[in-house]
Amino acid sequence: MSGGVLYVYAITDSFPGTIATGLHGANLRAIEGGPVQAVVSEHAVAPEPDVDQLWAHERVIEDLMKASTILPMRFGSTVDRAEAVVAMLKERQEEFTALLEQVRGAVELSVRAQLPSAAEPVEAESRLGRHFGPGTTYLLERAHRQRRSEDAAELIHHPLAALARRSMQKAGSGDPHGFKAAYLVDEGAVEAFAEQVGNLNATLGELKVSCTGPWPPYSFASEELG
Amino acid sequence: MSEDRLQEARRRKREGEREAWRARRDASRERQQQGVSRALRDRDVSLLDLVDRLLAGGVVIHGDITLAVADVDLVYVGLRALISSVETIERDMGVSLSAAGPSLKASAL
Repeated sequence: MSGGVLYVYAITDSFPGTIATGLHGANLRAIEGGPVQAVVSEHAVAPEPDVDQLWAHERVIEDLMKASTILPMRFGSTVDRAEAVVAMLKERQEEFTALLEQVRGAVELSVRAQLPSAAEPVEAESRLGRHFGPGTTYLLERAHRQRRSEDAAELIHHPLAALARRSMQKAGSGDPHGFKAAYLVDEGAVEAFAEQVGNLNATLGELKVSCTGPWPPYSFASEELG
Repeated sequence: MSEDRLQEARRRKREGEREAWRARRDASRERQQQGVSRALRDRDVSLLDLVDRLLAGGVVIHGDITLAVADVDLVYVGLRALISSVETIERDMGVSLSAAGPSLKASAL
């Protein structure tokens, strides 16, 4: 290929053959590098980055997941030569084989919730008397709210993590009251997980817990992330 | 007079944004319905999760074979902007796209 790019979708140890097509209907093929393979398609130019392509990337990954265990690549992973892919596979072989074992037979579920925030005033003064200045009162209230948020996060996270192989809480995007976590769950346990989310919604009152999935294991596809 | 025109322009802009948001929402739902049966997936919150996963998760190619890093960083910024504008519209319209509890329970696995 001259001047084109290879778009990389996933690392796998069991490429299922041509059951799926890639972005823009391109053929998928596997590049071997030891015991693991990278699933790629060839393109004259790098696929354009937009929301449609995000869904298209996701669709390819999901198709692959039906028949094999995979580590999904981050969107937009392109290389210019097959040799570069082979080098990466060989260099990171141990990492990839270990991670593939961790995600085998499991899917990722995403959970979000809005934690209690400043909307609910804390009666620092009535609890503590009026012995503090405004600065101290503010700090006490802030500490109290933070504890409430942390407690609520624990109420959500703990029972869900108990149903998961692995889990990770993610830092909210600038929102200290946004709970965001990913759970790596056995395929057979997805239903129980969904029921637990339903239970949480039934018992936690104003805390609304939302769950999406099953996703490919994006959040558990690298040692840094997981 | 000019104050009125300004308000009218603002109103039109808001309506345009809402229209664009609805179009994105509908397109997103359509895509999901076409996809694999997604037991738990719910409306637009899926788009937030999709963006989070595809642009911040997954295997990352390190070193000198990473050709698309600059491009993807730009995309990331662009999509973040898109997402935050959806959130802004959400707030302005007083609707919550992420209140997925009931539909979660309702969906058949």
